[in-house]
Amino acid sequence: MRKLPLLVPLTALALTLSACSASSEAASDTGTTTAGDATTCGTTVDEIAAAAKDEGTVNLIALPDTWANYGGILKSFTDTYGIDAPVANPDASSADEITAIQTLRGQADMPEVVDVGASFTQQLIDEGYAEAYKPTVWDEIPDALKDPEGRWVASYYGVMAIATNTTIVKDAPTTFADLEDPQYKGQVTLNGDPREAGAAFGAVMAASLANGGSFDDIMPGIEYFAGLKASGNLQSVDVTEATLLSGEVPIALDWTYNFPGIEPQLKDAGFDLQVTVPTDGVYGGYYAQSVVTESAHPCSARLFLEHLVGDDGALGYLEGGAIPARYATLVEEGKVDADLAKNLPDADTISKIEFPTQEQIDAAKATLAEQWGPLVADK
Amino acid sequence: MTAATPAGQLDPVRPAPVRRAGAGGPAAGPVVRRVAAQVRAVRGWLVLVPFLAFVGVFLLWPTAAVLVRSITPGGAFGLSALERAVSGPYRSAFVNSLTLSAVTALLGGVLGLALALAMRGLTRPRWLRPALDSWSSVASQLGGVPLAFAFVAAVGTQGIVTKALLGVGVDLVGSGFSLSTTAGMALVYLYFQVPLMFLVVSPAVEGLRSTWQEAATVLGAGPVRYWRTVAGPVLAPSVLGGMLLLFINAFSAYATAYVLSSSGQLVPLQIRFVLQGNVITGEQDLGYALVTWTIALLGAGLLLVQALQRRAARWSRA
Repeated sequence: MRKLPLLVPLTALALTLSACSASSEAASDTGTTTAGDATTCGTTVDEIAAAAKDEGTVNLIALPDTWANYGGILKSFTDTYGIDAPVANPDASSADEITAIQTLRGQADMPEVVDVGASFTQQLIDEGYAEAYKPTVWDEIPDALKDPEGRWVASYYGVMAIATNTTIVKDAPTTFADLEDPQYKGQVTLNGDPREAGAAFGAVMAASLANGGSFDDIMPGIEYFAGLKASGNLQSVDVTEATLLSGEVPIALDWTYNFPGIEPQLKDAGFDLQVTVPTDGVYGGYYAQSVVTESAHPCSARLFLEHLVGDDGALGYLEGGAIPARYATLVEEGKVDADLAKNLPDADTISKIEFPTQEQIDAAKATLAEQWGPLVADK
Repeated sequence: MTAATPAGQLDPVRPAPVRRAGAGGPAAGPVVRRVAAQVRAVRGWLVLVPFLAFVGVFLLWPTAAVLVRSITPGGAFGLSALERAVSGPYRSAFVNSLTLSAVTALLGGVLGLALALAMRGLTRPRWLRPALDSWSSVASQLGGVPLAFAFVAAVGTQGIVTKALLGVGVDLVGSGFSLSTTAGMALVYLYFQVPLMFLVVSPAVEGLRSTWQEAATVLGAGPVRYWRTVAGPVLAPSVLGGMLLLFINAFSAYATAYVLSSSGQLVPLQIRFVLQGNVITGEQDLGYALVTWTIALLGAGLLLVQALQRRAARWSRA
């Protein structure tokens, strides 16, 4: 009989769990993408900030401190508006974010603004999780970086870069063609597998552009990496803080914004780092932000999006080596100094960066899923 | 357990014989005993309830959910997801996973058995046996990220051993050795496979009675014949069962593989790609189908292990 009290929480747990799954299904069935009560938050940033102040908090997810300087951007948000911005599971993937919305739907701590890979925007829209909200600076955001109806905005993007640990590799490569040199045997490293990691996917796209491919034809990129694998230049460990700091990754292919955050630690470890945008394959990849429908703190969520695309967020991204969506405007207004732009390609190259469409991304994903295994991973 | 409970239960009933000896009715005894037996039976089930609830919520329910999702791709019944999961690149993932598991199960099994045989009857130095036992218990459970990084730090491209060997003229990286190849991963897996096998077969090896060998010798059998007809068959179920366990252990290893080869064509990693990535979307059904095949494979392995263990138990009972 002493065991009986144990049963109570277990049964309660079982009931809550089944209740959760039931309610989440119901919610996704009836999910809407209506503009909601946007008007009640106000239309200017100041009005939204005042409305958000009463809510006091905004629940975020999947924003690592060292990724595109999110640590700094979150701090400036909290300092400016006095609103808490807790980040659940900072290292979560885009798929994790969608799962979190599904399972926490209707609860006070559900994610309210998400930051997902470009290929996940359609799923957010299809499942009714993306609120239509056009930030006040809407017109300054290039068309390729926003959903026409405002269900997502890409407030920043990165450029694929070659980062070289110059303490280990004296002669730093600057192009995709350079990477084929036998002197880089066992040193070239992708950040993950392109079927899973957005950065590695970007590297394949960039390599494709460097080798005569296009957004519609990424096979040249896959074949390029097949060649690197065959020659032994491509190694299979992951680019992480640990592998970079241990010197296990002498040459990394990753977004420009993934390096400024860890450069101090690399310095401490006795390594020098050189980040170059390869001249033969310039590729920009964005992560998209959406205000989530039915969130418990709708005005705070809108305010956070305003902060990301506004000047504070934009300059924060630049500090982290990412390119803010309103880069052109910032340059025009003279807000981008040489120090902030030192890790980026020149303004002229940036203005020429194009982004693949949703269809092109879907086709590329399908090709990768079929071809990467047999041509590269299996070899 | 079963012996202790009735003894405790009898205590309150004990006054009955005293009453019977006096003027009290003799009928009370059997009724009380019957009720007590029923209470015991009910209580036996009740103590199981938390466990059953736990298994139901955290094992059976998720398993059932996975199975259902894998046979209803896109919401309607169909086997397309299950078929896709064993064709194209996913088939090669299964082949690679099976190869890696088989190689490490075989090598780990042989080495673990050899270690157990070598330790049999060894009494000196006295500290050696307990030391090996505790090291095995730790090492057999030491997988995942820490183990992978230990190897990366030792024999990775910038590892200490790699650099030391380069200093004396041996170029490990240049010779094509890499931790992310099947051979490299097998080496890392053996670190936990060998001690696991040692732990699993040690009791069986210890159970070989010296009297059997003496009897065989008296009857004229040489060492080869003794091993072939007596010790071999006695050990076989435990050894095979142990190897199967290693196979299952290696097949489901995930974190170690992920660190060593983030781009690996292994089943656990493919499941991650479709269920938890930043690139591939809307392929959950395929992920569940991959999990279903894995559950089927490991389930079959576990049934075999159990069958072999029943066989092995025969000898220890004898």
